[in-house]
Amino acid sequence: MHEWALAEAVVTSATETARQQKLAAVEEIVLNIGELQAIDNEMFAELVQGQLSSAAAELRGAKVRVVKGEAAFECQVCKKEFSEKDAKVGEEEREAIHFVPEMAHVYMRCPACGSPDFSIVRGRGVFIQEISGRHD
Amino acid sequence: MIDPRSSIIEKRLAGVKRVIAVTGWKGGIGKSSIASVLALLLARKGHRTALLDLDFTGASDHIILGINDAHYTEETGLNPPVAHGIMFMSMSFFSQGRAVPLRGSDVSQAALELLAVTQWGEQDFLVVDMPPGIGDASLDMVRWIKRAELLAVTTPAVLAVETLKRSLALFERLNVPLLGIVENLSAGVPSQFNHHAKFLGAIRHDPNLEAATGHPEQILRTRFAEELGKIAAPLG
Repeated sequence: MHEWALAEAVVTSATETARQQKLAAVEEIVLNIGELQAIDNEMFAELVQGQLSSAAAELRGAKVRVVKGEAAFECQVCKKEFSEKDAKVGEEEREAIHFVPEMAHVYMRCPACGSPDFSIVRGRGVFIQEISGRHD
Repeated sequence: MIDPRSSIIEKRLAGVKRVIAVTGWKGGIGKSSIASVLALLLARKGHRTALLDLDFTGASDHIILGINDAHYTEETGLNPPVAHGIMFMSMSFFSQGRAVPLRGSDVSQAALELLAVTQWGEQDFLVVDMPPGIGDASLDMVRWIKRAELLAVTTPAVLAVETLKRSLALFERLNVPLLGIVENLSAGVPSQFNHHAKFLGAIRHDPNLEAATGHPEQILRTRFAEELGKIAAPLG
């Protein structure tokens, strides 16, 4: 599953951040997973947690918490704001968006004016929202 | 919020010996043809070769190489299919032949996603068909892949030459390594870049290339491929 690669990116990035912040032990990593990418949040948290067990020492005890990021879009043409539910997308198209969320521009349309020219305001994909821990 | 994806790019490319970013700063100059045929030539010489089409809004490498039915597989990331001896990744796998209307920042985001999740394995060369121009995606690419070597494509046309000169100066200031300059669609007269230290050679306009599109074996028999092959010979 390609989520494994994203989980590896999370662990690598979290390691860099912990070192920049001089954290001796990371206690919690909060992930924000945008609904547009349609990743199973629980499964993804387990993937990251699993990879943390063989990560750098300061990350091994960290707990992973996931916050769901609701997707929101704004049409560049008519300025309507809309949600993913407003734009009807089929299952096959959802798979392409799952791999590359920008494919939303190929398969989604503004529900008001039909334009594919919209911006993804939030809820695109995987982000690290917060890393907390202790300094020695 | 931290976007974790750029942190993993170096690791994804750890098994790739050289990254050649084929770039051109004007449309219609043959950038995609040169990227695709260069990958084909390197693969035929026995090099482990991959091709990444990042020209999302005008993806055409799959058309040039006649890659119609190939599809990626999913494992610990996306494994690109191998076609004609080339490991190949393109946005065309996701867009199903439709137009891809992406603004500059969206092109960058999509490129970053592919770079983060694509597993290239061990490769001698990764040829990247770069996004056209000097917009967000091009600047991001050279920032994300610092060891990418630019192969700059131009034509003899005044507008292409002037754009190339300006763009080369920009990328030089960004400390991007320049592999060289290739003049495509040459009229067979000496190039304006003949005396440039990094001028690699010229490829004459080849009317047979159009008919060979989609047929790699035919492409390899064209004068275009023969002349590009001579230019690429120093790569090994």
